[in-house]
Amino acid sequence: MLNAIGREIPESLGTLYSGHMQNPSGRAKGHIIKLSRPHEDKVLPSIKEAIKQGGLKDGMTISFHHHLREGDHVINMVLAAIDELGIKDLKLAPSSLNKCHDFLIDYIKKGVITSIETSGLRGKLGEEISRGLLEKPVIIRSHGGRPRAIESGELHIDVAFIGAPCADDRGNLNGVDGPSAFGSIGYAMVDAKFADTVVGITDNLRKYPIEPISIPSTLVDYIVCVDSIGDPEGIVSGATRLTRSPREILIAEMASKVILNSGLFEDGFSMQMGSGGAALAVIRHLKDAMKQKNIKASFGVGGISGPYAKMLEEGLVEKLLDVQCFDLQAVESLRNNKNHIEMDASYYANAYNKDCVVNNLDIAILSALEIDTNFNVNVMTGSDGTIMGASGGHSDAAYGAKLTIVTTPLARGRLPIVVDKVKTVITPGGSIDVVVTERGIAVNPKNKDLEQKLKDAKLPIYSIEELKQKAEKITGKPDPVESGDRIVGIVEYRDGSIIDVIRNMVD
Amino acid sequence: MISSKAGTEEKNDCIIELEALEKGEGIEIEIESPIKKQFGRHIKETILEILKERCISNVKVRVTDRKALDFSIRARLETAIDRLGGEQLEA
Amino acid sequence: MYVPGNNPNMMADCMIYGADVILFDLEDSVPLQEKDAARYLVEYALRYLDFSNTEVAIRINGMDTPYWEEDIEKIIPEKPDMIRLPKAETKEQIKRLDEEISKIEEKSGIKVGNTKIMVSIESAKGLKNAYDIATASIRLQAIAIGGEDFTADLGVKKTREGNELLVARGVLVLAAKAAKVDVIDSVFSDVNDEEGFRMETEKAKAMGFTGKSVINPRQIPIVHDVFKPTEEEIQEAIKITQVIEEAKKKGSGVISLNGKMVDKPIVEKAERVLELAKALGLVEKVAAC
Repeated sequence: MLNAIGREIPESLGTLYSGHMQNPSGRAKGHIIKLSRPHEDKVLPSIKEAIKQGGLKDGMTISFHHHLREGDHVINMVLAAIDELGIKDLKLAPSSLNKCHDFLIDYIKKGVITSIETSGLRGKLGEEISRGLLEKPVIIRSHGGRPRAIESGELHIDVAFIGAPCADDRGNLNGVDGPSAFGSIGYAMVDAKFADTVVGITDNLRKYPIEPISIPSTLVDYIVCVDSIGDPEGIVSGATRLTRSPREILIAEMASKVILNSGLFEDGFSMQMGSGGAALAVIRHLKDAMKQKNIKASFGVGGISGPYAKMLEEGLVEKLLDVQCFDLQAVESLRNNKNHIEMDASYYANAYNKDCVVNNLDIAILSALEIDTNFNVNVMTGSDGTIMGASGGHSDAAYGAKLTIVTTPLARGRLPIVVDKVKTVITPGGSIDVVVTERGIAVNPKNKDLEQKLKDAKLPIYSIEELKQKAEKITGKPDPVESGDRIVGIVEYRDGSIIDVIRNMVD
Repeated sequence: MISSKAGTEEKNDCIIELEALEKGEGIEIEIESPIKKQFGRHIKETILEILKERCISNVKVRVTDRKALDFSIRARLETAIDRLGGEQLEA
Repeated sequence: MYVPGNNPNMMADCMIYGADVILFDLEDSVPLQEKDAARYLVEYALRYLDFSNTEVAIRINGMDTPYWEEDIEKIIPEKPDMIRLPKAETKEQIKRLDEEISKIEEKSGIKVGNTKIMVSIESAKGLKNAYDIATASIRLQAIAIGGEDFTADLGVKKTREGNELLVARGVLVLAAKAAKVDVIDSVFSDVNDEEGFRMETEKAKAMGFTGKSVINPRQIPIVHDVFKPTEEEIQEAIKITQVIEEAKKKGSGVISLNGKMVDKPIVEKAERVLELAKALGLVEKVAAC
């Protein structure tokens, strides 16, 4: 059965994407009410003990955040303990996974983990799951879709393990202090509110009460102290340097011109920058224009890195709303600047609240692994079907922003980025306004006014079909890569409907 | 064994190694490429086209590709053929 | 912009950065054992890549090497816009190059004279013969100075201020103007020193150079910015061409604007200004002359 954007989805899997956001009904699920006793000892001697006390059993669901990125030790430590205790058949529901999580392949083979619900999958783990390692298909959700599913009860978390750079013995947690500091702890804040049992794992236990309190002790059951929750070098980079790649700089320049001529570049505008090289480089160009025209952004959203934090410092942006920090500069800014505000993933992008930040965005700059002639974007799989990316906040930001710009090279290596049909749709074309490549810009036909403005500004505007042809002229037309029949992944749109499926990769 | 090599391991380049074979042994093509599924066939066809043009019928071709564009593959193959001795081989 | 002829990665993307001329190099950036490989890469790049409106030039090996003949043999049939000859020293070299190119053009069915030449002067001897070299062939569009090799020939160190090349640059410009060809300044190797690059480019423009060679896309906008005509220059040029138009219609012989006579050098300068302005996108169309 074809969904609203023409992707073939078996009806049995659930509600198909309809082209519009579904209207929700009902109530959010609540957490368990528990009695806490005066002066009780929440600090347990080991992760194993926390798992036992938390009552983790076969078939339950465990969750983690991905703020520790490539330096994460937490998932490894927890799974090792779970395995030692002989617990099996668990659902793993992290906010995302990275290349350092390849060890999960063994736990899957052993039957410790039998299903995964996440935003991203990378590395060998992504490859193996693409080949069919998991019996049950992986469920892919966006950064807004995950809190939606958690709050509605669709994704019920039994035990949430939260790696916390700073904790006190009552269970208050934050992400900004300590040797493993990663800044905003926004993804974990949702788990803490809704999971049945919440275990904080820290390498930095401090006196009660810590400050700031990002996750309050009212939500946390146990604390475990370990030597290290993560490798700082893998968690955050020291500083994000703006790209030197001439191609990325050129793309950034073109994207800036789109913004400057969009009619939205006015005092008080708001923006979300992706974390990619070209997206950040846009900052450099915008800064000059902003200083020249005396324009300030009312707020910036992210994924925050140093260059962005610098804009806050320089007064070019009045506030930053931060769901995760990418480098130490951003962590420092969150710690010290009261206008750098931590937010949780639900506040950021969950459509089923009375507000979410993405609904207030003027401009979003996002990336793409592939984009097709209907402007559908793939940030999840390679053209051969390997799962190697993440849904992230892409579809959320794209939906809410007035102007969504995708910046991408026309081809990467010999693979065209602009194609007939993307391998996997994460963001539907209706949410995408403009594609900017180094060889030209395409505007979604629904934006005739914008297209005219950009043409008047003498920007190189082509149809998306023309961009595709340009790409193919450079690379040659790739042979389509057939997938198997087995569904290994289900991609949920932010409203819970199914926007695409991932079929197994055939070697 | 007469053999030759052209190209580098750099991004968007490829290494082409040729080994002359005995008359009658035909053409063997081995392709190693991260985009083999999408472009393996293209690469093979390009190689066969050029070998035909250069009248070479007995050679082993090994391609180690790093996402080279078509023009690079052609250039590297032609260079490798020259270095192998070119058409004198088949004479 | 120089692009090494043995680097397929750089060759694939080089045309997107707004360079006026892409200069594929078969000479100094290509090691001896890769000369054959580079030749093929450049040949096929010309054949298969799309350069749109960017001109393509090829720097062949010097005529004191065994490589240049095969260079042009392979490259000319692919119709590059220009051949750049390094280490030009005598007018005889240019004449010989011209002849060899003509032979290949004829053999390949290309209009004889289609391929232009530019030369690089990299020695004192070459500089002495600059005017003769510049007038030795109608193919020749520009002469350039090869700063690095020139300072080596002089036995001096190349400095950021460039005083050691002041005379050479000056003489080259004089020869170029006398021969009515373009004159291109040398490359600036420190890509990160944007200030130094801008200074050198401004000096070059002030001395009469009509262009500058670059080695990195980052240098392109600086060259364009330095060489772009000012608003006044553009307006002046438009007025001059208008006055010429009117005079032509009326059939008058002597033309004046603002009390000054508008003679041939002024008209030519106005044409050049407008052409440059048009190329930089500063005017919609050039007033018809």
